[in-house]
Amino acid sequence: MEALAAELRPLLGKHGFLLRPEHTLPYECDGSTAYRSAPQAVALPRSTAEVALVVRACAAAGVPFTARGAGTGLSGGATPIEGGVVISLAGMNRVLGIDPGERTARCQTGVVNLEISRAAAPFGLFFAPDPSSQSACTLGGNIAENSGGPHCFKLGATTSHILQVTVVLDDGETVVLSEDDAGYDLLGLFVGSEGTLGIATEATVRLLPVPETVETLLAPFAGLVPACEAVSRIVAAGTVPVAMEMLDAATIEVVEAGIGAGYPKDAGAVLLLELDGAKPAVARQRADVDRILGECGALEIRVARDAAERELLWRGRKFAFGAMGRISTDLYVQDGVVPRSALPEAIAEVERIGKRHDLRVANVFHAGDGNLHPCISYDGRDEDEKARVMAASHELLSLCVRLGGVLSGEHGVGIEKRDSLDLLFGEDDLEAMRRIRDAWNRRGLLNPGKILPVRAGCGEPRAALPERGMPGRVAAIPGAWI
Amino acid sequence: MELGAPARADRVIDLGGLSGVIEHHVTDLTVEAWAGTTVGALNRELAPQRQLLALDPPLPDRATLGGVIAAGDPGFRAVPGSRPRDLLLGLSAVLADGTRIRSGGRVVKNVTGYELTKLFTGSLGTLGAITRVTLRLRALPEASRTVVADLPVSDSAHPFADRVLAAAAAAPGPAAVAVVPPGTGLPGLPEDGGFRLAIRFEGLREEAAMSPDGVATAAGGVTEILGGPEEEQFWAGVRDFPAVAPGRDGTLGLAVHGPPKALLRTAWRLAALGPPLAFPDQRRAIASIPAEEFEAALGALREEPDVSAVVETAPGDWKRNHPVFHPPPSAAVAALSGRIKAALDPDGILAPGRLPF
Repeated sequence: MEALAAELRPLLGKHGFLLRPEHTLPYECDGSTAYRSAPQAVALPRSTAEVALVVRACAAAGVPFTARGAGTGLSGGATPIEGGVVISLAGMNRVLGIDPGERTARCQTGVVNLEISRAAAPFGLFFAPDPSSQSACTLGGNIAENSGGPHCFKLGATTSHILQVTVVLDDGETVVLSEDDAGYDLLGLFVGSEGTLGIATEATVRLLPVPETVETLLAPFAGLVPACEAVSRIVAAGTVPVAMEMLDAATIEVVEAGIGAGYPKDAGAVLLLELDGAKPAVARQRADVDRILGECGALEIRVARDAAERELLWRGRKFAFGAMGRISTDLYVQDGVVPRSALPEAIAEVERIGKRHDLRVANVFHAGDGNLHPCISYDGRDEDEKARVMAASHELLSLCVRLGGVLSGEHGVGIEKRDSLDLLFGEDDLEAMRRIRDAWNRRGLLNPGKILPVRAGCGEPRAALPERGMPGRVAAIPGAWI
Repeated sequence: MELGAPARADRVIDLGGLSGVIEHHVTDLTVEAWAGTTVGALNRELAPQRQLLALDPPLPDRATLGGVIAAGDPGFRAVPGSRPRDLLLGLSAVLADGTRIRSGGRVVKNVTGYELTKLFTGSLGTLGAITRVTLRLRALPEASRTVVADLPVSDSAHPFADRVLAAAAAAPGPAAVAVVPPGTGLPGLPEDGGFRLAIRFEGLREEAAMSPDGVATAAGGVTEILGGPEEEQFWAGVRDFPAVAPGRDGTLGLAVHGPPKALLRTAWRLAALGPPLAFPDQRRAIASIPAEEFEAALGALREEPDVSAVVETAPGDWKRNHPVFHPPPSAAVAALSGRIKAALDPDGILAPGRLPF
């Protein structure tokens, strides 16, 4: 590592390559704190060329390297689980240009998600992906994880909004992948590959026009089952709300104690629903939605009258996760997806699994796309409770697969779910993925130990994880949400 | 079979027999079907449930799901949301060595593992034979309506491109945007005049009823409204254009890609050689050019460095004597693509030579 430092410091500057443990320790994990492994060094490049230099040096020295944006990921994607060098893109945080005519923004990938929409706002445009941590997370992280967010129900996840990326490959070569390329959809493969195929350094993103009007509704229900029924019927009727978010009674209680968003405390569930578009279209959608909500047993329909009320309704949803920090030291959040029609069964089963393992489970989820986020509160110092969380976690993932779903909707596989991938895929499926990964990540130095189960080769011990099998425990940070 | 560079084919696998719906998940708006099912047959089967697969390949009664996905054909609808890459949730395929694999799933949001579904989309049969697919559906629109704006004949390439984008930007949430040159013979439009901008609105009645004044103002011309059978015939003409227009009298079918402004300028220039249909929000145009004008078309393409083109269809053995990809992909993209091909088809037995690496 000293040799790497000697090579790179003259190029990156003294503060561009960190070696001291007190400087590298903050990079030991991302938002998924169950997995910790400090890098031997942290590089802070300022340009694509500098990223390429760092990668070239790491490749020559045979040192693993892992890219990192803001470190808000929830599956260990940015955690350097096999050590080596963390390449932080935090310094590459500029919006390079907006083209309002073509509705695109060109950005460095260390830019914070929300900054893109801020820069686009004067032109009446915005960047659609709105993951949990959008005020902190970076575009590069969104590209790596193919991040979603409440509004991706209508607008699509990150992959629908990336037109071009500049990528530094495993050997330091730079390539531009574009939606306009003929041949294989390399851009589609790259987005969501969790930093294992290359490091995105710049991107051109699609911007959308800010809608003419937005209506935000809150509908309390006696329980989750009728609320989920309403969601299915709204979609089947041809209405496409821009977001449909659900919170159960346990979450409402925590939110009201912590934030006071004005959710009815006696409701079994609330559905937060947003419509957008041109005024007459929204008025019609509103009429359809009101009718279906009523038929499905909504206790009332509350409509945000102005921006402040809308903000308050969303605050309850957005800060639900942070508010859970008030009731427990540790929180485990899952990200499984089930077909929308299976939501009632999934929710009932989540409750049974929680009870069976004597755990406190709160549900807050993206109902429109069936993306569950069961949140289990626990005390990380209690070994027995941890073991029960672990057991429940595996049952929850199996449940999603059994109901026709998948393991992750927006957080990624990372370290957290890599050893559970065989719940969903057979060995031949995984082998095809492995071959694709190895075709780009030829020496296994790029973000090793992620996505695919780690195979023990000849005479090679299977890489051990700290607290292997421990699910995605996350820091309950006030202000963070999922 | 004719897309891409000419491939060697000693044996052909006909998947037409793998046909039919496996399961229609009505409440989830998803369908699982065999890859040999045609888009037309599937949509007829979905119609009584008032659902639709929003793919619009040319000649939908001949186009199979597997074929449309392997070709990556985006149809005419606006993006994002209606391309095969947006609608394909999961697939099963047989690799070159006979291994069967699955990728994706049947839910609409999924980041579990590598996106092999996207890799197979547009792979032209070079990575494996797609056998079954799971696709996202939408509710059948209640209504639709198309606003057609005449664009001034006097515009040159640059003002033409700016005007089209300004007019299209005045339309909130269009379902499709097409720029149509004179001389296409498409139903519903007069043969004379200049370029026209067609914007389709569909969905709820209120969404379809939108007729934004801003479109006409920005387009600088009169607008007319297409509805009913006339509208359907027009869009069917747009849809079938790539299959019907080229091949007539030895013409080439070009697919042009690039950023909207450069793309529209290229379409304007190509119009002197043969009619191009442009879909600016898809960053794509398709043009029908007489083979003898190919050099002139290349000249028009070279004026915009960000624009690229593929000769999709050509008469006879034209493709054996001419390059198909203009410009060819960068060396780095070709190398990455070649490594993907080698990873899944190490002996290179599936459609060898079809893609440029």
